[in-house]
Amino acid sequence: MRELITHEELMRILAAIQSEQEPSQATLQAAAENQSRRPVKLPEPIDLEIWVDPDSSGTVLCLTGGEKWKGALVQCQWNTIAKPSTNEEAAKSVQTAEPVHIFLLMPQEASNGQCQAVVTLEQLRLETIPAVARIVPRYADPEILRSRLQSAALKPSAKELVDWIDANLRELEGTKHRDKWTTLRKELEAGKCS
Amino acid sequence: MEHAKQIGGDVSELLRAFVFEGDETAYEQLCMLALQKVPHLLAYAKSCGVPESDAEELVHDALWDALKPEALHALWKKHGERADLYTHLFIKLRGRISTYKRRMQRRPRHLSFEGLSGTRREPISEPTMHATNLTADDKALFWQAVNECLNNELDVQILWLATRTDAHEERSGKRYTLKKVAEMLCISHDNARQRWCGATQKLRSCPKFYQVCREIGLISDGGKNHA
Repeated sequence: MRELITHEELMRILAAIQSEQEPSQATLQAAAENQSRRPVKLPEPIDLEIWVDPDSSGTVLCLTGGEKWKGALVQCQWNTIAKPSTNEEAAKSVQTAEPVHIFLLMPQEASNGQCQAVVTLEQLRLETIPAVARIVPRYADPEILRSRLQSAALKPSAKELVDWIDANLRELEGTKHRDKWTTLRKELEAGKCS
Repeated sequence: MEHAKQIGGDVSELLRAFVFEGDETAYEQLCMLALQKVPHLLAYAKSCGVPESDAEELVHDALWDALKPEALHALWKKHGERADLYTHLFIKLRGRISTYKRRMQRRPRHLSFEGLSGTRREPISEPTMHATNLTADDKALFWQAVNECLNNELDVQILWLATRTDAHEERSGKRYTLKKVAEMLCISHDNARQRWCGATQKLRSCPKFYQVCREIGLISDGGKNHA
C-alpha cells in the first residue's frame, strides 16, 4: 500500500501529540500543593477520567469510564512512588524507581453511560497519574496476566477474576490462548494465583 | 551447522504450507523464527552505522516487509525449497538501511537525529509540529482517525501507551518502551513489537489519518510525497 507519510513524520506527529497527551508530573505536584487536585480526563479513544488522591496513609484512585469500560479488567502502573511517612516533607522527598502496578475490575453497571471504580492503596503515596490499560481478553496472554497478578499491589478476588474470565469466554473461543485461559481459571478457583 | 540445516528444513516446509495451504499456524511459526533473528538483525543494523535508537525501528520495519504474505509468496516463487528466511530478512533490512541512509543524507542539519532521545525514533519537534497549537477538538479528531484507521482496540491502546511519557523519565522525554506497553496489556513483547510495526505502517498509509493530520496542522507540507 502506498505510504503517505514517512516513518519519521509519523514519529514526529506522535511526539507532538504525546507532549499534550497527559499533564506533566510537575503540573500534578503543583496542583497537589495547591490542594486543587482535579480529575484528568483522557479523551477518546481511551475515554477515561482518572483521579488520584494521596495522603499520609495511602492513595485513593478513582476511574470513571464510558461504555467500553464496563466490566473491564484494568491494569494501572506507577513508575514514581513516594513512600508514605508521617513527616510530610520526608514523604515528598522519598521516592523509588520500583514501579507499582495494580489490577481492578470496572463495574458491569453504568450510570448515565458512565461506570466508576474506586480503590484505596494502603501505605502507598502515589502522586502521579498512572498508565492505564484495559486488558483485551482476545489478545492477552493468560500466563503473562498470571505473572502480573502475582506481583500486583492490589487485585480483584479470585472469584471476581473467575467471573471475568467466564464473562469473556465467548470472546476467547477460537483464540490461541483458549486452553491457557481454562487453566488459569482452574488455578484461580483452586486458590493457586495469590 | 546441524542446527542451521534443521531450521532451513523447517522454513521450507513452513513456507510451503503457508503458500499452498494458507496454513496460519505455519505463518505464525515463520514469524516466530523471524523474531528469533532480531538480535542478529539489530547487531547488523548497528554495524552499518545506524544509531541504536533507530536500529530497532528499522529492524521492525524490515520484519514487517519480510513477513507480508505477498513477500513470502514471492520468496517461495523465486527460490522454492531453497528459500532462506534469514537471507530474506537481511535483504529486507539492507533495503531499509539504504533508504534510511539516503533520507539522513537529504535531511537538513537542524533536523538530524543527533539530538533525539528515546528507544524509538523520536525526532525533535519542528515549529509546525508543536502540539500546543492543538485544541481539544483537534486531539479528539486525531485519536478518532487513529481509532478508525486501526480499527482494533489493542492496537489503539498500544499506540496510546507507547506515546505516553514515562513520568519517572519525564525529563529525558522517554516514552513508554514497548516492553512496558506489553506488560501493561498482558501480551508478549514480540506481539507488541509486531503490532506496533503493523499499526504505524497502517497509519502511514491511511488516507483518513493523513487528511486529519493535515487539517489540524500536524503535517505542514503534505507528507513525504510532497516534500
